[in-house]
Amino acid sequence: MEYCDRCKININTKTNICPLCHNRIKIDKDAKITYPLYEPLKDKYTKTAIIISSIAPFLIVLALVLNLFVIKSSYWSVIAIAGIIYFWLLGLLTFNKRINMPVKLIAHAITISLILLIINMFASNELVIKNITWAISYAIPLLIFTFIAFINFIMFNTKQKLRDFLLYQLVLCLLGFIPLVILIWGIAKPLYPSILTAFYSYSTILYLIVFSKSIIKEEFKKRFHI
Amino acid sequence: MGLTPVFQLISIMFYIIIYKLSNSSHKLLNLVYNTRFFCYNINGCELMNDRKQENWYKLDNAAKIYPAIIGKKDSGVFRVSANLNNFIIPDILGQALIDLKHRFPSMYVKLKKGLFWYYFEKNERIPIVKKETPYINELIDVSKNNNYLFTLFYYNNRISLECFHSLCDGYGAIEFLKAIVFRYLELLGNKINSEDKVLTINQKVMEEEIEDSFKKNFTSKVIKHNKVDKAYHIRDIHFPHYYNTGIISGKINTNKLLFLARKSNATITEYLAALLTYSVYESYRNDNFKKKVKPINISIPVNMRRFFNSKTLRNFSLFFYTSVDINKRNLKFNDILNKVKKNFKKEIDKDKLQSNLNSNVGAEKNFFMKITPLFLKNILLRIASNILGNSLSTMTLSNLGNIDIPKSMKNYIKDMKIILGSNYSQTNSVGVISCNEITTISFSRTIFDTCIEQTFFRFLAKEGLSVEIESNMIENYL
Repeated sequence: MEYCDRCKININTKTNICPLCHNRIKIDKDAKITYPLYEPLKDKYTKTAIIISSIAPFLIVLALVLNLFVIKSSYWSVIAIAGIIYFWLLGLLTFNKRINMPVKLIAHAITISLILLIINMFASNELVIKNITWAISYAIPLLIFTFIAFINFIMFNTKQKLRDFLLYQLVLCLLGFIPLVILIWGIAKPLYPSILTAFYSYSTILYLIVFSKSIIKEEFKKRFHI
Repeated sequence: MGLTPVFQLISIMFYIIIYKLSNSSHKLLNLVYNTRFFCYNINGCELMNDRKQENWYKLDNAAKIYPAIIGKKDSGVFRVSANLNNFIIPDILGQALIDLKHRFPSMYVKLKKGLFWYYFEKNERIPIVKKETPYINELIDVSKNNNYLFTLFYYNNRISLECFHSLCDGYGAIEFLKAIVFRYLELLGNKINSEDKVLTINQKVMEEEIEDSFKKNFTSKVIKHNKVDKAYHIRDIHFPHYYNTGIISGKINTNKLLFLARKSNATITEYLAALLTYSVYESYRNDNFKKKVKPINISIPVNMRRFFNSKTLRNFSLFFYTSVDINKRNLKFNDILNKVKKNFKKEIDKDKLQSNLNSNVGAEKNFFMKITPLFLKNILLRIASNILGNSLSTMTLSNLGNIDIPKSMKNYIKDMKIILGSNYSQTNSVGVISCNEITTISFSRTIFDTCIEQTFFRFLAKEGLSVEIESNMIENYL
C-alpha cells in the first residue's frame, strides 16, 4: 500500500503520483492495478461520416455546374445529385445503431424506389410523365415484392422476429398496393408486376391477420399505448 | 405476353403459402397459445398471484426521461460493483446471470419505441458477461449487448453491473447484483444461506417487485414548491473524449464515519452532503469572491420505498436539493452542516415527497403530453432536462446506505461500490455505499481537476479517519 504524506491517505492503486494532490509518491511494486489499462477508442465511423458529409456537397455543386455549363445534353445532374444523396442516406441508415432493422428495411425500400423513379424520369431529354414506365411498371413493384418476401423469410424464422417485424411488414404491404393504384390511373403499362406485388401484399396481410391476430392486437396495444 | 406467366406466378404463390401454412402452423399455434397464456407465465416463471401479466411494461415515471436525454456525452448509466475475495470465473458468472432471468423479469428486457411512449419488452436473447473496459459508465450499445440495457462486467475479483437508469434505481441494481453474487457463489459450490436478505432463483416473482410504484402511489394533491435557485457549476478543463471518466474512491470504516457524523448530531448522508458542499466551496473560493455567485446545490436522491411501503425493483426514487449560499465570507464547515441539516429536515417529509411525486406523475398524465408523438416528446424532454435537471444542481450525492447481506456471504464479499454517471454539464458525482462495515465513497468526474476530492478526503483524514484511495488514474493517460 502506498501513502501520500501531504494528504495523509493510503493509496491502493499502482501509481507514482497521488491521485488527489498529484505529488510524487514512493511506488509500491506489489500494488494492484485496480482498473483496466486505458487506451483511446477508435472512432473510425465518425471520421468516415465526416469525410463523406464534407465531400458530398462539393460533388453536388460540381455536378450542377458541369450540367449547366459543360455537358448540357439532358438533366443528368439530377440523377447524379440523387445518387450522391442516396449513398449518403444509405450510410446514415445502415450504420445508425439507434434505428432498428425493420425501419431500416422500409427506409431502404422507399429510398431505392425513389432513386429508380428519378433515374427513369431524368434519363432522357424530354421531361414528360409518360417516360415513367420501367420504374413504376417493373422495378418498384418487384423491389417491394422482394422486400416483402425478405421480411417474410426473416419473420417466420423465430417467434421474436415475428413480433418485431409484424407491424412494419403490414406497412410495407400497404406500400405494395401503391404501384397498382398508380397503374389503374393509367400512367404506365403493363400491369403484371404490380398485380403480382399487390396480390403478394394482400396474401401476406391475410396470412398475418388469420394466424397472428392476437399478436397484431398486442403489438397495436404496445405501440400505441398512451 | 399472355396471362399464363401471371397465373403461374399466382399458383407458385399459393404453393408457398400452403407450404408455409403446413410447415409453420404448429409454430404459429404455439405462438398464439403462448401469447394467450402468457398471463401467468412470464419467462416461464410463476407470478405470486397468477394475475394477468403482459410480456411488456410501460416505463415508470422516472424512467421516461432517460431514453430522451441520453447520448454519448450523457449515457444515463450507473455502476454498482462488488469486490469478492477470489478471482472471478466468467463462465460461472455467465451461468448465474442466465439462471436469474426468471427471477428478475423487469431487468431482462429491451427498450422499444411506440408512437407515443417507449416501452420495455421481454428479451429472449442470452445476456452477456464482459471483461471490464476502461470506459466507465459508457453509453450501452444495445446492438452489441444482445439488446439488454444492463451489462455485467468482471475484472480480477470485481463484479460490476452497469445499468441504464430507466431499468431501475440504485436499490433495484443492488438487489440484482446481490442476487447475481449469491447465485455465483452458489454455483461455485459454496454453502450459503440467503436468510431472506437476497432474492434467489427458488422464490416466486412478487407482483410488488415489478409494479410501477409512482403510478400506484399517485394522488392528485400537490403542494406549492419552493423555487430552487440555479446552482453554481464547477468549471474546469474537460477530459478530451466523451468516454473519459475519472474515478477516485475512498474506503472508510463505517462505524468510525458514523461516530464522526453522530458527534455533529448528523446522519452520514447529511454529514457527507455538508462536507461535499464545503469541499466545493473551499476548492473554488478564490473564484467565488470576485463576484456574486450562485448557491451550491447538492442533489440528493431519496429512496421512496422507505415512505411508501414499496418493494419495487424498478425506479422509485425522487430527489431534493440542499442549497447553501456561498456569498458569505469565511464559511466554516459547521455553518454549512447546520444549513444542510435544516434542508434535510425540511425536504424529507412524506407530504412533501408525495407532492413531488404527484407533480411528476401529473405531468406525465397531462392529456397533451400523452398524445404528443414520441419524437416531439424527446425534443421537449431534452430541453426540459437541460433547463431543469442540470442547471439546478452543482453535484449529485447518492447514498445507498448500508447493504444488508447474509452472514454466510460476508466471508466472500469484501466491499461494494457505486459509481454514478457524470457528464459535461454536471462534471462531478458522488456515490456512497456501505457493506461489510466499509463505506466506499466514489467520485466520478469529467474534468482534470481533483481539488474537491482532495479537500474532501483530506478533511476526513484530518478528523482521524483512515482513508484508502483507489483511482483509475485517467489523467496519466490523456
